[in-house]
Amino acid sequence: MTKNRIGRTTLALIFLAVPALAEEHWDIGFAAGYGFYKNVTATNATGKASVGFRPGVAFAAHAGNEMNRWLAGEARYTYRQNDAWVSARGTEARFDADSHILTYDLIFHLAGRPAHVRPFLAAGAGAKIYRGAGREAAFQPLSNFVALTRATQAVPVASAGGGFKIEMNRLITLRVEARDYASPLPRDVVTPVPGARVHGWVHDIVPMIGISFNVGR
Amino acid sequence: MTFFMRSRSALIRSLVLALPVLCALEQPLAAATFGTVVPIGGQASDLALDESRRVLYIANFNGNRVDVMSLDNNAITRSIQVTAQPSAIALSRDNKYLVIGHYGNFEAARNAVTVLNLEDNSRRVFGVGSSPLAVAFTNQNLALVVTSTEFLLFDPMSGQTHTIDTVAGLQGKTLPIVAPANSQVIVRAAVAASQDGLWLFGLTDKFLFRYDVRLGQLGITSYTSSPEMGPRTVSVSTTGTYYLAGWGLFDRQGTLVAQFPNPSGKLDIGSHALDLERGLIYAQMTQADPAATSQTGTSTPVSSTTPAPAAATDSSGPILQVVAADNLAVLDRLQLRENLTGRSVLNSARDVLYSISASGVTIFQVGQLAKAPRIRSEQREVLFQSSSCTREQQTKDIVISNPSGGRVAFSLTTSDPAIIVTPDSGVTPAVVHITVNPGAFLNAKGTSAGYIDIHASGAVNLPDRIRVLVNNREPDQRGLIQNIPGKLVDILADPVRSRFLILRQDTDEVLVFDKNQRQIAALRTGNTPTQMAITADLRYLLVGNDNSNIASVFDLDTLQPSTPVRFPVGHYPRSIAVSGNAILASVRSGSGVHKIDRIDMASRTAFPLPNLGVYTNDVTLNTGLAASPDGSSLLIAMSDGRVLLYDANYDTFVAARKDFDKLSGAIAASSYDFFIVDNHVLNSSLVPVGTLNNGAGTSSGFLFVDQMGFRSNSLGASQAGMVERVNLSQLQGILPTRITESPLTSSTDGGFTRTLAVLGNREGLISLTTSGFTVLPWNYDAASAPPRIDRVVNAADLSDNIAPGSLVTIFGSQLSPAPGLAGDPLTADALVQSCLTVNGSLAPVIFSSPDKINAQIPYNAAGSTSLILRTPGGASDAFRVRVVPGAPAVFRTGTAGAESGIPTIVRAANNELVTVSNPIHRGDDLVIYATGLGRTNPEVPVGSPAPYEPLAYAVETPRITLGGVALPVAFAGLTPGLIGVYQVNVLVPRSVPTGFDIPLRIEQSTAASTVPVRVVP
Repeated sequence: MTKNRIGRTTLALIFLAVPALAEEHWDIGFAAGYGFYKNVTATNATGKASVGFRPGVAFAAHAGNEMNRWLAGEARYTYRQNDAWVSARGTEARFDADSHILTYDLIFHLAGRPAHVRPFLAAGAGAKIYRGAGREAAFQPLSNFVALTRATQAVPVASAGGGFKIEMNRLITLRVEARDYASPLPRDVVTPVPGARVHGWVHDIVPMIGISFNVGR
Repeated sequence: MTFFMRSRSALIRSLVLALPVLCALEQPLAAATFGTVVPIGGQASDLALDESRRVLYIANFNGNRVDVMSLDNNAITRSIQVTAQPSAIALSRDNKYLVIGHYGNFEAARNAVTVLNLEDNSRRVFGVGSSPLAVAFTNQNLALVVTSTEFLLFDPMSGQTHTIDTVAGLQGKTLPIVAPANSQVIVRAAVAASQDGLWLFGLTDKFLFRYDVRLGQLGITSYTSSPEMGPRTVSVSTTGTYYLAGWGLFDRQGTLVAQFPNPSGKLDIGSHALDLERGLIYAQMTQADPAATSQTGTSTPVSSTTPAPAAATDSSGPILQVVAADNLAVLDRLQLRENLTGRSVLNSARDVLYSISASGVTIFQVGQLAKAPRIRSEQREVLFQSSSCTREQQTKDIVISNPSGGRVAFSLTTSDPAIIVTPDSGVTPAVVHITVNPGAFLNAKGTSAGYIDIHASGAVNLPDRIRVLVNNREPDQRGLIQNIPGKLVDILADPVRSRFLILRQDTDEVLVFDKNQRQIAALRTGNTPTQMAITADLRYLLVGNDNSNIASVFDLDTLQPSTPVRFPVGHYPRSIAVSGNAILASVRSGSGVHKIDRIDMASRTAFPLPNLGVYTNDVTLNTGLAASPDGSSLLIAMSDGRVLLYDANYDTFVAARKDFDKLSGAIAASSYDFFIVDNHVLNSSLVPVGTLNNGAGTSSGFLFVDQMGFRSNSLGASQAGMVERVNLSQLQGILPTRITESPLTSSTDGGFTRTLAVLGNREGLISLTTSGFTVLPWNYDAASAPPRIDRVVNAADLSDNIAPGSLVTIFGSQLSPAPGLAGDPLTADALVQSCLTVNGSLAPVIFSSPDKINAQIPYNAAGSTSLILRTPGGASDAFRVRVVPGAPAVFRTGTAGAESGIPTIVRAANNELVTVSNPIHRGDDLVIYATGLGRTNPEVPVGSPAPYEPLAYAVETPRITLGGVALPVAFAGLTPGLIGVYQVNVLVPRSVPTGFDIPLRIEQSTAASTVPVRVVP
């Protein structure tokens, strides 16, 4: 099931990238930032708990092209360091975890080329692979809500965000942007136990700053 | 290799292996003796050691010569003819002159002193007025010659004689003691000097004397009494601080520090030598017939009901004792070739002892004693305990060894055919198994004693007997026995320090125990300690000694000896009691008129009371004293039936009565005007007001605690003891309770006994009993109902699945008299008193509490099985369970955080329990802990931990499935080191389903057990 989902997402990214490859204006770049999660709520007969992931650093790489002066598309990979986490009534449990995000985003520039500062909006979709990597133990606090498990799980992810491109010179552009990666809770890693229910999606909000290198101008 | 060669090789190997045994057996079949006898062809009367010339001079009384023995080859190398009947010799301190006294047998013309000049072999003979009896040199090179009428100082160089005093004059001088009979003549004497020559001590047939060389003072230190002060010889320590004269060890002041018990007083048999530097005395001392000397020495107030003789049946031959120099406690007993008959001298290295003996001289290489072949058992007593729960044959091991380390052949004999020793002969060192079948002692509901005698013809010593104690008890008998070897005669609580003290008479020690019954010290007393008392300020312990003229004193804070209390000459303190005013002691008197002495702790002296109020100070030998807890009064009871009461407020005796023909047994005084002697209750005027139940056996101990009393009686030497609380206002015993073994009672010659003490802060009672002491909890007489079994389940998941070897949990009521885990002595005793039988076989009980017991089902149980529980309250009704060959049940004992009751399944990957947060992963190795997997190969005895090597495999391997997928089993069997716990090691295949509640199922035989587990990829 998960493998099929990853395959379909990859095909969509390829189809979106084909027109871009036909254009002249290319850029590739790197970014770094620190991400925050808006977690979900788990409930059981005894009460509620916040369930999800802890904030952590983010590193991203992208490759894109401008199809015209307003529209661009880019493929993006983001690594997130994000420990799995559950918390309730002052008690919490953590579990080493990270994730890998692959998305294709459309970029809508609000100022056309060749403006020096070009605000933009971005939206896209892809897959997020969560990986629980901690040491399992017989006792985990709040295990009556979720079990934090050593497992790997891919889930679909939706991406939305915006930022600014500031052209430093003909080849280098500074990018300041933020993305919200919204995904369902990876239930193989953060597993609701029988008797507990989880509501909502996990939002991973990642501000980043980076540079891109213009190719083909 | 030919057959012949193989045979020869085997023969050689056999000989090599047998050589040590053959060597051991090679020792003479006649009993080995210590010492080498050198005959002189006459009767030796005295000897003098001349180490400068490497010779020993031996006065040959009948041969009219002095024989000279070489110290190098122990051979008589020459003889010096002297005037008739040399009776005493001494070597001058400059080694130049040998002075010889000639005993003229009251023919004045034959009384003489010969001076041999050892440098030029010249001699001079000097006539003296009366018979010379003994001679010794001072540091001034002058000889003190003791004659039958005078004490002379004789200068061997000039031949001048100076009369220090006469026998009559010496006795006529003012002394603090009164001569029993005045006489102007003595007929026997011995004298010896300290190594420094400053002090000379002597012994005559009438008195003991001391000569202070520096002051030139000669004085009598004491008069001899019955029995005579035999053997007639004196040994002095290096500096003259102590000396042995006859059967007594005296200090310089003449106080009898200790005496050999029950001496015969024979003058012509025996000898001794004092080696204070090594703390040893070598002595041959003949004993009197105890039955004939009850008034003279060693009768004791308390004895074991099954006394252990100090040693095996005495050889009829003479014995050299090695005793402690401070209190004459016997350390070893060595067999002699012949009797010693006079002076003994140690060489300067103190490793060779020369003694006059019947044939001449016996030479003892005492420095080589540690290498002499000896035999002993490293355990002096062995206690077997059985009850209705433990009737099986029991075996314990002892070690027979040679303290010198060599090999000595021995054999063992037992006093009772029910005591079996295996092997009954061998060569040291050897482990001997003692096997006792308690069934042979079923008629005794207490402790029976038997003995094992050690025989070793190749050993020079007489080994102690081994006492074998067999205790049989019924479930209602209370108390935990602690085996203390030896003769225990008194017990006293030290409440301030939460200790109790036990007097061990055979080793002359006070054993100090803390409230946990651990011995923390052993304090050395005088000889034959009899009774203890604690001073009113609770600081000092006083100990009366039946064979010392002192009461030993110990600081109870430091447990160190303090200055002893010196008693008048001839007064031996036996019973001591402390009141708020006076400290009194009943003393055995050498004069035969026994007294009450008063102790002055400030001066550490004692003196006889002039009278006992309006009564004469004349008490019986067996007189017991008891103090009331508040110190207001002292009760004195005598074996002839008299009782006296000392009132500390008025410092006098206020009551005396004789209402009984004889008295013995327990003695106690309360702070509430009640007094106990035997089973009689006396009021404050000592009028008998009642008798405690006489039918309850022989009285042993009585203890007042507030207004309540505790009383212990013996129902027979090898029967149960009895303890009961006593309501004094109603003179009634409350809840008489049988205890594990008999408390000690007085010996047949009477005597008063104290055998009860409070343990700690009223945490229990301690009673001196046959095997040592018995600990009773304070609520020892609490009612105990018979147990009732309500339910029996396996201890793993509490289901009804039970198989051979299963650990089971029994629920019910009154299952155990005391809760707790094994390890605590009283709980251990409760466990000893409780037992579970399964189809009549004992099942090991691992945990015991009033409502729950954990036990193991025997491996031979099968089918319908009856369980019966026995406790001190009785036996339960039979409870039937069905035992099947295999009934696996996974332990639900795991805990994780606040969670408990988790199936005990462990992931090998992290060695943690499988839980929701530690799920099983495909490919994991798991260890499942369970019980009820049935019999094993090899079989493991029930109640025993499983071995590590070889592993015990379940005979029927269980089938394990996870979500319906079979798991390969790597091992199924008992967990090494644990009792009744099995483990199954399995591998999780990658094909198992995942999820939260995947069933893990264990099947064996017709039973199965399933637990849900979480499985993840």
